Amino acid sequence: MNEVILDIQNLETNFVTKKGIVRAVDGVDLQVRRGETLGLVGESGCGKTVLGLSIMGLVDSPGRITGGKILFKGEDLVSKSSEEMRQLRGDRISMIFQDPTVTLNPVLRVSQQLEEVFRYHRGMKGKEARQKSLELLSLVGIPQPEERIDRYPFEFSGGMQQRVVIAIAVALNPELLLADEPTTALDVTVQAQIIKVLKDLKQQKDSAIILITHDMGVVAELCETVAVTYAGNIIEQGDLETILERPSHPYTVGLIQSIPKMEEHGKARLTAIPGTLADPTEIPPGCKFHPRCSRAEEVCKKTRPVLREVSPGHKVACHLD
Amino acid sequence: MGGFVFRRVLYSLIVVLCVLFIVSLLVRIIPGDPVDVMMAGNPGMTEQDKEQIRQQLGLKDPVLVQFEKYIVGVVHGDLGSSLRFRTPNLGLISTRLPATLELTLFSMLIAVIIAVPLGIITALKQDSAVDYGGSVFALIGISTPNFLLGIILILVFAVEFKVFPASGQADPLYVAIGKAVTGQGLGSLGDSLRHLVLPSVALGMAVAAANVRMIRSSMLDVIRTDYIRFAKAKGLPGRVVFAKHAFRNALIPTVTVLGLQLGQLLGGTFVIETVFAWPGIGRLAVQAIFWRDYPLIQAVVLVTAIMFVTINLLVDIIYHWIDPRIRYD
Repeated sequence: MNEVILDIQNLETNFVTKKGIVRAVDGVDLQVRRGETLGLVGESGCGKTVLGLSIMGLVDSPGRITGGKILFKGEDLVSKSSEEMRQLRGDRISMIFQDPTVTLNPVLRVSQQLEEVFRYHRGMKGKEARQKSLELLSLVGIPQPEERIDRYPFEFSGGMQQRVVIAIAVALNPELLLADEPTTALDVTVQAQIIKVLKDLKQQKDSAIILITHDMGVVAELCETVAVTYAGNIIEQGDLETILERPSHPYTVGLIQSIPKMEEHGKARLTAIPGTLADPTEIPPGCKFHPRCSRAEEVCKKTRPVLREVSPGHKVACHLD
Repeated sequence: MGGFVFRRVLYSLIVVLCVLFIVSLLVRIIPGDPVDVMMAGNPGMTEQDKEQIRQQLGLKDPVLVQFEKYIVGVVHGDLGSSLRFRTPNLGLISTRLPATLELTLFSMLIAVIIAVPLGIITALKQDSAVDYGGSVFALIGISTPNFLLGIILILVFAVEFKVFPASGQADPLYVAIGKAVTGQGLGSLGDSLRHLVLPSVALGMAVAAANVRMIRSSMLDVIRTDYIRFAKAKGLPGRVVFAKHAFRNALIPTVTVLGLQLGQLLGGTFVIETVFAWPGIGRLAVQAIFWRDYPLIQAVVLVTAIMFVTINLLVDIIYHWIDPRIRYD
């Protein structure tokens, strides 16, 4: 097995709001190995994106990392200065965002937005940076890069814009790539193309990828391991097959049952998890999932379960079985 | 782009024509008769004589005929002659126009110099004491009429503290700059600037205040966008994120209204030039209205309207440079 390059220990990121403190990331433990692609799944508002931004050091006020460690190759990112983090970002750790149509600066040419990565991290200028940028555009499958590189983002389709965003993110061969719902804002056919781009990149580069998504289909396509989040916690983690075939946590079970299946079309109703995600300012005591859990017992209402290994590589935070 | 400019020039001409027609109607609705005003110092003038003069000046013609004659003249470069001064309007205006342009542009400069840094600081320090201070400044700036502000400035800085002159213009700025450049000393330039400060501040304050609010809110919008977050995620230095990625986008709404604001300032010169005895076309226009000097009023309005549409045309072209998403077809 490859070495662990990212080791998150008991991370807490809070937002102080008028309604109270929102614990968006509430004691997360997570390890990612070199070259591994980890799917971070969970429903909207469960803290996936905030976790990504915490790793990047880009949590905006009023949010703040209030506890825990993010060890990146042994160095704690939480204690790094903002200048140290800046040098790391875009170089050794980079991030792709959800909606490509608002991720690129509308008034700057694609070439300017690509070349500045080389310029500010590697001191490259002019022709050299341009040559590198052209190579990148080819790599992510943009045809005729010479003709397109000097266009503005609005002259590209959504899928092409996401390719540009990916090109920028992988420009300097980051050791860790965070992809926050990279296909959600795109058409289904374009989604498939972007998944292919990411797949190809995985084979060519040695980056570890954390794929933040709520789409199990994307996870099945790309990931080797899966971590399931619920209300700011990791509640189950394991390799793809284990999570898809033998999920253990009742929430994971519900999540997988809620995926529509072709063969059951017309026969079975889609199963949904009852209720909604808990109000982040009024987290229930005990297991956060217990009000929605069909199997909840007395112990679930009182004690919060911790993530424990149930079989090699398979961790679950649940009191049951 | 060429087609766009041509179309815009054509529209502009139509606008100027409409403005002229409306003004020529309006000035004739104002009570009072130009010949009465002209001959006020001549008690021996009979009503018959006056009637004859009206005939000679073409004032008895129908309004439309007068208007037509006027337009024909304008096309030939003849803006008519002032009833009061008995000289061509073109000469009267061209000697006073530089003073008005100087005042307007200097006011805009002051407005921008105040608004850009203040707008940015209040956005970056949102909800701080600086931000609240900026809001109070903006509220006062927008609500104070410019003539009142002008008089207050005169009372405080000219009468009480005697740091700036109360009225008038020294050497025109271009003359003063010429002197400074050709080595005739900076005294003239200093004097010109000292005369410019109070009227420019009085004129530009409302625009500055409005722009502080606008720059603040667009800056706040921009720094929350995903592309700024992505620029940070790329590991760009803070100054690059700010100057290259945020500032230009934040400026777009402000540039949009800059043309209109220059028009607002041009209109403001009518009042401010009167308050500060500034020898520009604004003051000339106010005097012309008191004298019922129809041809002169029309000429001033024509020149002002042409300046206004030209400024807006230029702003439209600048848009394209600042925001390439704007297309003109």
